[in-house]
Amino acid sequence: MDLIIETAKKGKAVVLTVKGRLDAATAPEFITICDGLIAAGDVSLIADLGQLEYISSAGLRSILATAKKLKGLQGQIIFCNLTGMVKDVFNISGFTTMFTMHATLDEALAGC
Amino acid sequence: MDTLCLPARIESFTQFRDFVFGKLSEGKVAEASFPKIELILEEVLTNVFYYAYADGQGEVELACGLRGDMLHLSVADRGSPFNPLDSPPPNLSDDIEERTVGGLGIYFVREMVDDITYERRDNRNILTMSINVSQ
Repeated sequence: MDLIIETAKKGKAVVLTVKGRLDAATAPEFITICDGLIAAGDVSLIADLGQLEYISSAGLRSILATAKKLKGLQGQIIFCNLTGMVKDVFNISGFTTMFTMHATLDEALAGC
Repeated sequence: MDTLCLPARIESFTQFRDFVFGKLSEGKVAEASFPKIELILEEVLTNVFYYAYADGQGEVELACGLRGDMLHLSVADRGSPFNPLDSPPPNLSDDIEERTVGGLGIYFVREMVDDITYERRDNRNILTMSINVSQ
């Protein structure tokens, strides 16, 4: 599996269910999808990473690029459901403290 | 150590990964260490793919061997001299606007390997790493 992203509008927020791999090969797709949402006026994003199996620094770079654009528009991207190596990589890179993190999607939706 | 030499471009990555994973399947390797090894490989190899050759033309050679619990990897290229271990520490600021992600890849590698050395020999950059794969 490469990268699959499903999007669903939940109230004011858009939930991105991110599955598979966010790496040097697939990170541009993540940027394209987020840019599309931002262009449509959606600036409150929740990324559910429960089915993301792998992320590298290229994946983190695409997330940070999106977060910077959202910040400039008074929006944000928050994260939930991190597991395994994705959780480890977020921790090592300090992304866990830079971003709002939730254990579950329900908690993330409640916090929006 | 077995070696695989391929063009230094992103399209070669899957072959390098399958080569190393094939080696791992010969030993008793913890399932949990596969993504860690893949991350180390991606960060080291993409650095070579994107930066080693100014004209984008060149090769990268990966040597791989498993001895007991230790995986040994060696990545060599003939590009411009570059010691990734000299890279400045990454910016780990908590502020989204100030944060950059330059240097994060090599930082992951240093955090995850048990041993890493760089040498410039015979006009080649050679990065050698050892990783414990029992956990």
